[in-house]
Amino acid sequence: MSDQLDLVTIIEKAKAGDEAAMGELFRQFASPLLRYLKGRRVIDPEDIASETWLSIIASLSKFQGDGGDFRAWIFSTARRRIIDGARRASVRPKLEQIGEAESASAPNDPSFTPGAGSEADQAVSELVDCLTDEQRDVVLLRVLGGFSAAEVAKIVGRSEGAIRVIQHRAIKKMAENISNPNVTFGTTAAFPLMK
Amino acid sequence: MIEEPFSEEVIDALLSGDSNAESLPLDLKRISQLVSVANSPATMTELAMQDTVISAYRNALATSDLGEIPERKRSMISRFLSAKVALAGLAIALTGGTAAALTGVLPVSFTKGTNPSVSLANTAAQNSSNSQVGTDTKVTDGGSTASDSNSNTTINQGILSTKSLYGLCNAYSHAFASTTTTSTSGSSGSQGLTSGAPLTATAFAELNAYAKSKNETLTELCTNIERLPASNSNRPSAMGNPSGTPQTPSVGASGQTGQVEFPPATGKGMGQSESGKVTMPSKPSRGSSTN
Repeated sequence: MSDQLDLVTIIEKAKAGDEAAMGELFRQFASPLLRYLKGRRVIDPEDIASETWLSIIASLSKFQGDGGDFRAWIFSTARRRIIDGARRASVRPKLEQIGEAESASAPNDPSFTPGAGSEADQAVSELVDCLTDEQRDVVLLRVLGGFSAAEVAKIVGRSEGAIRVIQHRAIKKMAENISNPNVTFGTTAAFPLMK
Repeated sequence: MIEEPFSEEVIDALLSGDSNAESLPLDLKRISQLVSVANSPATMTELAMQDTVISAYRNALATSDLGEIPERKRSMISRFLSAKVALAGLAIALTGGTAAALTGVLPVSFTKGTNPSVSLANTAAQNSSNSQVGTDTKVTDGGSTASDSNSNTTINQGILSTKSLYGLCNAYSHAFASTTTTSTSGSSGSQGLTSGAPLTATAFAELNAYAKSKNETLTELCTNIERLPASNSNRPSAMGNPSGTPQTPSVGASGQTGQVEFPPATGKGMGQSESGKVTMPSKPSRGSSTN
């Protein structure tokens, strides 16, 4: 609770133009955001993170809410950036289709290792490698964003029940993957479960 | 293989990092460890972007981007209010115009400064209905109102200015001349320069009524009016006041009331008004005239 109050104070200071407060906000949310983007297997997570922060700064004066709302705002902005990036990628010229093909295969390619191999990044990668993109999104929002199932439901735009079903299946799949690491997860997410 | 479904509490505890790893099965223990590592503190590499973000934040403050949105909102509000005020003004103007069109009466502020022809037209419309409302004024003569006279006609304030009378007499004489040359006959029951003159125009009828209210013929009225400007010594003040001060015409003065205010013939100087020539109307009244 006190953390929430502190966060509200920091946000208000940042809105008033306090650079130190803005720096504190960045330090609190930069690593979860970046890990979330890497876990979502975005091609250029640093670029998306940078765009997200610029968007946050531009609209900071309009923000109203507590620390939880601010956290949700950051991750929602990042999600929109991911969606926009995917949309842009779908209409790119043919010259960039090679890179696009790589990115398209990335989400379900177990050999895909995004970003630098920090311990946290490797843990995230190991955690969500076996999951579908939707499951990955929900699990990462819960683990890195620290949201409850209800909050994730709001961010994703689904019902809380749907989120609970998704996370239940995700945990099951993660447990199976850990107990049987040789299982290969391809584009067909249900394949391991059919064994 | 995981044989039993996980409970909601275990899943929530696992994903939020609150689970007790010791009490979990091996596979779930591993998940708990991964979640714990995933939430480890930020590395320097991850915070390398801080300077860029702070720089962008500083630039945003310098260009006042942070306060741009509320400013835009205020301008939209003020713009919206201006539009509302303009709309209200337009509605009032349209409503007033509609009301004037329906009643045939313009407000005093409009009729005072309007063209005499407009006022006369307005008067004609009112005379046709024999009802006097608005700015109509009864013509008085010698302290008696028009309703006491034979004509029982009310004259709009527009005819009361000397310019109007003079111009109307002038127009009447010209119209009469043209009518007589073309052998046009058209009598509207007027009296004046000649019987049978084309007095069908409402303005001429009004002039005729005005002359009637003075117990004069049109000829006499117009002769007197035309003679007045020529007389320098007796030229009335433009304001009916030698001092040039605006003066409300009096009603019922002893035999010499109703002085018509004539404009100066040369446009210079103020003369003494000639009394007893043309009756000046009294103050505006809403009384109805009788036929």
